[in-house]
Amino acid sequence: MHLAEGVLSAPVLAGAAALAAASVAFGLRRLGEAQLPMAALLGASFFVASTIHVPVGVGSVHLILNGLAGLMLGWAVFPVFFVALLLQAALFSFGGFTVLGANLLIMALPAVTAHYLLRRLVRPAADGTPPPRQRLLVAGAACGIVGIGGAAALASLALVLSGGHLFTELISLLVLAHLPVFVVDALISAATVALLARMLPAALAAVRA
Amino acid sequence: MRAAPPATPLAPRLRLGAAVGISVLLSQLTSPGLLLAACAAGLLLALAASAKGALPLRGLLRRIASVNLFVAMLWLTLPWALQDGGLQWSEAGAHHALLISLRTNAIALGCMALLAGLDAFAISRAAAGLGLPPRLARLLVLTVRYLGVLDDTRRRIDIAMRARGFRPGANRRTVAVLAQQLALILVHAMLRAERVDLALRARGFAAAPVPAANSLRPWRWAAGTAVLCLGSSLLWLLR
Repeated sequence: MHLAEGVLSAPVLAGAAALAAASVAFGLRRLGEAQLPMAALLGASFFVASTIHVPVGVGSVHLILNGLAGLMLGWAVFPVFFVALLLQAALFSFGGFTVLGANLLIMALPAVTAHYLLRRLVRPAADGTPPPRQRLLVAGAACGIVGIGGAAALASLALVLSGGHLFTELISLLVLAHLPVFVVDALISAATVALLARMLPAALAAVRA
Repeated sequence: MRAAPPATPLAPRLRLGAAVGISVLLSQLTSPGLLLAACAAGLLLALAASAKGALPLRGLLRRIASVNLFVAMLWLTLPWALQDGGLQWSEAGAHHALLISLRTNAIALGCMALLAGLDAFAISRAAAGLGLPPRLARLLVLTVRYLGVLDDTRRRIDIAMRARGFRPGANRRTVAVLAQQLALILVHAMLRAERVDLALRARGFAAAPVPAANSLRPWRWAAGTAVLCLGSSLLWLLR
């Protein structure tokens, strides 16, 4: 979910950039030097996964998976998403440089929220037994709900702060356009968390900065 | 015959810095005339880059189209006001939509023209050279390094899935198969990270520094600050 350049007001852009810079710095402090390759690999994985398209009706939606990334990465999701958004802005014109801070907060704040809300649900028992499948499915679906729902709420907040009632209909359209992504992301995240717990339980606690 | 001189390492850094600079400058302009001129200049430069082969025309058109998806949403909502007599055209809303559309396109076209021909590695080196914190710069370089590897993994899994007759659709089977694909990509990434970790430890790795040659010298910082001051003054005059 990217807001385009030229939409947000200068105070919102500056405030979001400052908050995003502080969050990236905090995320980097929590991310040890030895964890960098793992964070980079997971960041690259989510970047690649975002190119997977799921057919919906006559069109298709691409995965966002910010909630799932947050569950696995914790605060490290800020520097990891910064890198992804910078590359997307420079190489594909998705988002942009002045709106990078706002887009980073929109994507990464719900991800960190998902991490703190859901990490207990996916934690294995003391003897290493993975949590029950139903609990994993709930945690995965909640990743999609918190991630995409939170991103939509923050994007709406940024628009309201920039244009007030002027953007009311735009916000409704934006939320409506992201409903299929919301559903698809929740379904795929649920199935992925359940699979990861069986295939490689350590994956769900990969970095956790 | 003399060999061509090597490309200066400053060029991508300057181009990325200029792209960020014009994005900030254009995002604050409120004059439709100036924004239209910026759009035209950006389009001409992007087409020139395309003619030189630095930016494929199809890619350019696709990127313009993706930028204008959001612009289309703006025009579907901003100029219309729901009043007692139904939907009514709003001049103020239309003016706002026009300004945002021009800004969005001017910035996108300018950045496409400036960054044409730079791949992910060049962008990462340029960003690292512009003064990113060393750990963030290393994360950027590593991410770019692994993007190709994991995209290759995704392609291989995709080919294997299609060879087994998988056709994506809006159904339960697609969700299950795509979740398997995603889980496999993540597991591949984590196993690779373990191998990287082992290899680094075996070589007595502590922390790889970002190449010092990429750091900006003081006079370049001074030049950058001067350009920033000039841009701010220009912005103040134009407003």
